[in-house]
Amino acid sequence: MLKRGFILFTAGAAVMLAAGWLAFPRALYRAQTQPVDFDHAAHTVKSEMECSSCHEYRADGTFAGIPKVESCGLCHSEPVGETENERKIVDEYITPGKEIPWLVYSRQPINTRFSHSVHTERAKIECERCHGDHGKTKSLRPYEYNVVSGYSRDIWGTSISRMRRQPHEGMKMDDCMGCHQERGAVAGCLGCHR
Amino acid sequence: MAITRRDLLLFGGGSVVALPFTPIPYKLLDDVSIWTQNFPWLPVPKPGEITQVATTCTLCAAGCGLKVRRVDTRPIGIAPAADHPVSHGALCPLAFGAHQLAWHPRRIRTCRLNGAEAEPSVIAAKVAAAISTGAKFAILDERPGRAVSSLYRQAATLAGGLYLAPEAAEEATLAAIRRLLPATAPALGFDITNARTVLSFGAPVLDGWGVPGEMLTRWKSGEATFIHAGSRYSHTARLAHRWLPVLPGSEGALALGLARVLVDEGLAAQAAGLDHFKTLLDEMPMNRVAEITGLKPGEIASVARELHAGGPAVAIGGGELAGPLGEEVETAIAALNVLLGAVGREGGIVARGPLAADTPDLAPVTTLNQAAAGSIGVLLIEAATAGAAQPWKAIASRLAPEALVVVMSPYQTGYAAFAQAQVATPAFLEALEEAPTAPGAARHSYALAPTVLDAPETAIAPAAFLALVAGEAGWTSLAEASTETAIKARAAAIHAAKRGSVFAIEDASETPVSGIESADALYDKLAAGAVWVDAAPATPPLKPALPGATGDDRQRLLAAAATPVAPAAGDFAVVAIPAAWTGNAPAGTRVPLAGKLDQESHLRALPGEAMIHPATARRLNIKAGARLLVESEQAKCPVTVRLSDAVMQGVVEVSPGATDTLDLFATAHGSALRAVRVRLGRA
Repeated sequence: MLKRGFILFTAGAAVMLAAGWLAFPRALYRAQTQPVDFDHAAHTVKSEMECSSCHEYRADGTFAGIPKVESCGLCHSEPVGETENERKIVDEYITPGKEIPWLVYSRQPINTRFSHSVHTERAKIECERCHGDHGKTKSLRPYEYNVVSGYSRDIWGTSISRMRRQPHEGMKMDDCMGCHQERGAVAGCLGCHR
Repeated sequence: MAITRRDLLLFGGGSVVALPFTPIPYKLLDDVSIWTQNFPWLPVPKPGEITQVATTCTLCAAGCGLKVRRVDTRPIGIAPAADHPVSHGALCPLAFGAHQLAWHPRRIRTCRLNGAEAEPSVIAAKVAAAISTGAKFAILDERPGRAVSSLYRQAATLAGGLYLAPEAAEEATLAAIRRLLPATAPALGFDITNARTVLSFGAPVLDGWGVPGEMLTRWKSGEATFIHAGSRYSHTARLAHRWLPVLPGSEGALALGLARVLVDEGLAAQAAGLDHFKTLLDEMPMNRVAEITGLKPGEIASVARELHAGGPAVAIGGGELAGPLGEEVETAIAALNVLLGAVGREGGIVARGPLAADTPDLAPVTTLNQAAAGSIGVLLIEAATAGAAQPWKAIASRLAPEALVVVMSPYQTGYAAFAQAQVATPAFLEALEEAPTAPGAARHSYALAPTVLDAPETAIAPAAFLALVAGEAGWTSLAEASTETAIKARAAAIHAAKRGSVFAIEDASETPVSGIESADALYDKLAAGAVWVDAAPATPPLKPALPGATGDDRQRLLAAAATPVAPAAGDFAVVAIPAAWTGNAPAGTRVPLAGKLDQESHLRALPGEAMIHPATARRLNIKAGARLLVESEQAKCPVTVRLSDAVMQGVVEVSPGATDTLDLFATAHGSALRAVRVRLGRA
């Protein structure tokens, strides 16, 4: 009788642990495919371009974010390679002047603001510190969003436990504050929140 | 094998025990809290490309440079302008949230007369009609020094009335020093950038005083020592290198005590009238100073020696909030500056020189205290959003019975509650506005805040409303007045003087005025958010004479120093001092973001709160959270009690919120906010 009870209790615990660590993360996030599979490596590795060649700073120092198709068109008014993805970008977006509806992995919530120029220009932090090797990938991974909060999975980080994660994984306030603390950089509430 | 109820319970029990060892509760808590912040009915700015507009903050007199971040035409945030020659990249929380002010819940969106909606022309006609009956006309300009202010002075001249402007706390010590100089002496300013020791007498110098950016930059540089003498453990007291917790109202005694040490130890600078002043100091022995201030004689002596050794040193009065310390106390602080050799010295008090646009034939600037009691029949007020605030009782005492009061303001705060007519004016960012020289600044400056946001159709600019009054009153020279024309005239005067340079926020470039081809070109630069900063003027040496030459002077000075707070009468046994933060003016307007932070985290006392030391509370049998009635000889107001061991024993710190709270402190010096005796009763 005791043995049967122990087995049932352990089974209940095991099912919950499995649900929590395996099923819950899968249920919590939904994946979406990017409109075009963009090859960063072709630009940064093969053509040796800098991140800021496309993700540029405007004259007033503000960060332009994801480039508009107008910028892409400066080099790709016609396909320069033979890939299907490039042809799709040129035909469906650059030529008709239609912006690509990218799903932004690192989109921050509306109540925060983040100055790229302060971090990369003034503090000399490399893009990889927050974006990892994204700039060297050959293919775009699916965009995953949280079904409860609506945030991109990159904000919490890939690991559901947030343990043993790489420095670039996670963009929550704790992550920002951890880095600021490490570097002795002061930022009040209103430095990041609006 | 049958599954029993016991089996299910065991299985469920195992699941429940394991639940805390999974990420489910923690992650869901995080996600649900985010979800509650993003309810679909909460308004959020539209996504889109972010652009920014360079401008200047006109909410208080500091004139800090900032950048308004916009999506489309809607402001979504504000950031400081780095390298700005006035604000040095600093901003206060009020400015950080200023883009929210146009949607403030207390926004006045329509003009009102006696509670009913009215056209501005109707209110203007009423003002003109009252003036035509012979009622004394006065304009209270809470943001003096602007080009628009010169229109007000013209109106006061034409109506034979008064142009009233509040005394800036930052200018109180400078005014006292000017009284020690010949009448022809130039305007003065504090040269904080070069000071090595700054002694503040209650003045919240590290808490939004003067030009906060300049002060904080100097503090952060570590090249200057800040000493703060005050009764509150304020933000300035916390940040200062040394805090002297003096008893309420004893600043004058401390200034004389420090002066005495300098004179006795031969550390004082040579100045005219030193012999007279020495005899005055003889009547203020150190043990008496120690008794009044609550400091030890040795402590006072060590501060005096530090001021001498750590020169150039400057002493700043002005007191807490908007309340000056009183003329005699400021005179004592001015004398201390003279003995420190600070007057006319780099790093001390320097000449600011005349402003190019000064026009001599306008109505003089008058303070409220100079207006005769019960004399004003028509009062037009342009209210500042933050900064200056005077107790309504001080204004009401100058009004004739049945006086007409008209307030021009974007918000239903402060004086607007007492006026018969409210004229809805554009809020910050909704109209072209000016930021003239900040009070206490060492050099003149002038900047404009361009229109970034559409104002409500019912709002009218103060200059346009004045033009309506002028039209009704027959003042033809003012009937066509506008903000833009007045500002262009100011820009032309600056251009003609060919002094100083213009700093453009957008590209951080500096252009000498002499290199700008025309007055219109200068105006265009300013209207694009640039700031003009004057060059250091060449002025003759300043030679102040110490006070106390006549017996009357000496007696007044000694009496003010020796009587910090009016003696207790009856059961008015507790000393109340105003406690608030300058950037969050008591009668002004708070941004929703700052209000939320204050409320949720108790960053500072909220309006209508009173803080008492736990020992005082025990003695008076008061508990935290109790509702009390604080009553001075002039006014009473309900407060909620908070206990804090940072408050002096026997003292209650009242955070002024509504104007009735300000009236508590209106007794000592008319419009001043000073320590007063109060009694505490149950609300």
